Amino acid sequence: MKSRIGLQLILAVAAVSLTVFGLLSNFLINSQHRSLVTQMEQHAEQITETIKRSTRYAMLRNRRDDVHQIIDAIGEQEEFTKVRIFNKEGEIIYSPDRSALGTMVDKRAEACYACHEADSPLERLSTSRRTRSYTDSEGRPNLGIINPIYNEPNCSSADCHAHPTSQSVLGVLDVTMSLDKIQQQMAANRRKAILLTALAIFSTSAIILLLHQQLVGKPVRQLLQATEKVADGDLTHRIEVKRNNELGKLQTSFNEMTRGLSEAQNQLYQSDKMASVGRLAAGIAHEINNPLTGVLSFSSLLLKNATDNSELRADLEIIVRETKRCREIVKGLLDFSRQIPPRKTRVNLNKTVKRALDIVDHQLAVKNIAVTTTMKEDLPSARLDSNQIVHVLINLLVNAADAIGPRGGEIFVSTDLEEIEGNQMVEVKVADTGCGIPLSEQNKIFEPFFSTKEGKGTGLGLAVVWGIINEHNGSISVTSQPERGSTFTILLPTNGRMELSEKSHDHERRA
Amino acid sequence: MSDELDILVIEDELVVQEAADRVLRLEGLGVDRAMDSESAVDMVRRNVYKVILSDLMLPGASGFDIIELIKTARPAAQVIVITGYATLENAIKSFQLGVFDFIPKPFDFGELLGVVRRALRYHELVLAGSVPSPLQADPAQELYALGQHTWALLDPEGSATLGVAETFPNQMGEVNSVELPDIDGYTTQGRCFVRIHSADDAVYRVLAPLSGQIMALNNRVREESELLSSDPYGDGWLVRIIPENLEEELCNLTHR
Ligand SMILES: Nc1ncnc2c1ncn2[C@@H]1O[C@H](COP(=O)(O)OP(=O)(O)OP(=O)(O)O)[C@@H](O)[C@H]1O
Ligand SMILES: [Mg+2]
Repeated sequence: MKSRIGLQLILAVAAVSLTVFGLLSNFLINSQHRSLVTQMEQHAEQITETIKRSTRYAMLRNRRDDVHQIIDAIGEQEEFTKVRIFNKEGEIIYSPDRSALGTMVDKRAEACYACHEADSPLERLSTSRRTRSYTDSEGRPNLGIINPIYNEPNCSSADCHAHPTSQSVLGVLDVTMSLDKIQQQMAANRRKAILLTALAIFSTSAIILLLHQQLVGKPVRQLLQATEKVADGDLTHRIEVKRNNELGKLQTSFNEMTRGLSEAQNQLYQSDKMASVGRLAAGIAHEINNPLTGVLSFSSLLLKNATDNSELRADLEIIVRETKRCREIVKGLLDFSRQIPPRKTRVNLNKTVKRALDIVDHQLAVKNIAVTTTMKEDLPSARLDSNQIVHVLINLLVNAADAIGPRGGEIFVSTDLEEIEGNQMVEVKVADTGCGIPLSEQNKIFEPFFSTKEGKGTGLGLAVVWGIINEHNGSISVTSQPERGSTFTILLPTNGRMELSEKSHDHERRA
Repeated sequence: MSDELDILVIEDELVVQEAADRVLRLEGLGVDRAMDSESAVDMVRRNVYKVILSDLMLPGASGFDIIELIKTARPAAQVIVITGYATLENAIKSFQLGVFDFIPKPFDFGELLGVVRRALRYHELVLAGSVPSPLQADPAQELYALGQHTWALLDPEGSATLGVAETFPNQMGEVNSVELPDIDGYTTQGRCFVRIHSADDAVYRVLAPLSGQIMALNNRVREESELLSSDPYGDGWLVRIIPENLEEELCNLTHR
């Protein structure tokens, strides 16, 4: 068995049921045995009384043949192993077994022991003392009962030979019955009990095994597998949670843990990647700036001197124009790598959002894009460079408009207040009904020069956005469904303490 | 001063040096060049230059040290800082040291020419002792200047009006056109927000003294560019903004 908890559980249950069932059936069998034996005793007692009564007359008349006949007839019955009468001296005087006649019974033999235990024999005995159980020489169980034949006035006065009156016990009727049947029945009962106990143990074990497999074994195995996967670095694995019990909850929280872990890892990886890309970009930009100065100043110089040659002039104009474009790209790269730290002031994000919307409003309207804004009221102010945040929002809005395309569509802009790990954050969301971003690209869109707009985009927009948000100690994330749209979420810290004083201030004013 | 030389270019990057040299020689100016701070200091000590172009990032010394040295040794020399993008902030601060203006890399012919011409003219004014003092229209308003050429007037309501100093138009030739920013746009301190194109191919970059959201433009100056010189603090204003980061940015300006 794989699961050790299951094994232990089954062993424990088996031990308990074995003890309980064992004790119970033992008790039942014993009491049944006792009552059967008592019944048997009573039966034997009755029989001895019957024999005594039926032989009484023959004895009084001293008709020995009659007594022999009666004893023989009774002895023929199978249930009796021995029926005999012996006299006071222990001589067997009646018995179906003729060869035994005249033999003496040892007073120490089991039939006599009850009375002859002490030196002088007892004369009156209770039924229970007169019965005895023993196993004969062939190993068969037997129940013996003796019934003393007492002297009666009729006996002493009989004319035959007359027993003297002083003699109180004339002889003993000894009947021995076989207990074989009872013993067999008891053995059968015992077998049944054992069988039942075994069955009970087996079925409860099976039920426990099954329940354990379903309720514990399987979910634990899933958890174990998942843990191994996570340990191997696979953070995408999720357990399929089937039940809502404790283990189900454990599985759910395990899933949540891996999800959180994978998010954190992804963020770490992203910011690591962006930081190194940023350094690379800044390095390249600085290096390019100098040669670009040469190209730009010499080409613009040539352009100035090429007044007469219109063809050359046109060519040079292109060179100058494109070099200036390079200049803008380099500027964007350096913006992205945040060579300029943000100049933060306390501003209300709602106002910043409104400013950004005002700027692109016309542009969006022309493109048949409806903008819906949902501003959270009483948003606490945050320390940010509102120029840069406006820049961020314009970038997101322009991207959204590009994603929507000429068919038109909708953009939803909303602000909210969030608490993340105890830090108060202001949130702004820009959602669009555009083309969406395939999952495989969602990690790349913030990289500089990643663009799907073939020639129309430099791919610096979101890189700069990322740089600015990073410099604000905020975060930006994207969720998107291809063909349905994308949502960009920005979180910016408000930096708690000032909020508190502002709030209490507000409160005072209101009060 | 007859032994006065025109220009010194302090720049460790050869191609930038050559570009500046070529553009300025075409203007008929004499150009000296220094590759590192040591030779730069040496040349500043030996010669008298009208205008000195200097990179802020030089091997051997901080660009600030050289500027300080120039300004103490040769107060009349006008310093133009050549900046890479990274040193933009520093460049704004260098206005405190008396720097005339700065020009970010990469620049084109017209931009370099514009700033050097202005510096040369300002240098003449300084030598002649005729640098005009600001003609403030409303004394209740606070006037702050960035370097020698742009100013911001703080209104009591919280907005700020930006414009060029009266010396600025004097330093330019005939104005061809004034390129104003977009309404709803932004100004960033130290970044160019208005370009003035002159008839003689020079481009004059006007740097914003304050950052903020633009709320109004003075479209009159597009047609009547003479307003820039006739009434620089009145009708010749350029844009009105809502300052964004006033307290911090005022530290980079000089109060007049
Ligand atoms: N809202 C959006 N919906 C769908 N795709 C988007 C969205 N925003 C960005 N993208 C994808 O991310 C890419 C990178 O965007 P980014 O703004 O960085 O560059 P760009 O818009 O292509 O160029 P630039 O902004 O420099 O002009 C885009 O080319 C586009 O594929
Ligand atoms: Mg974009």
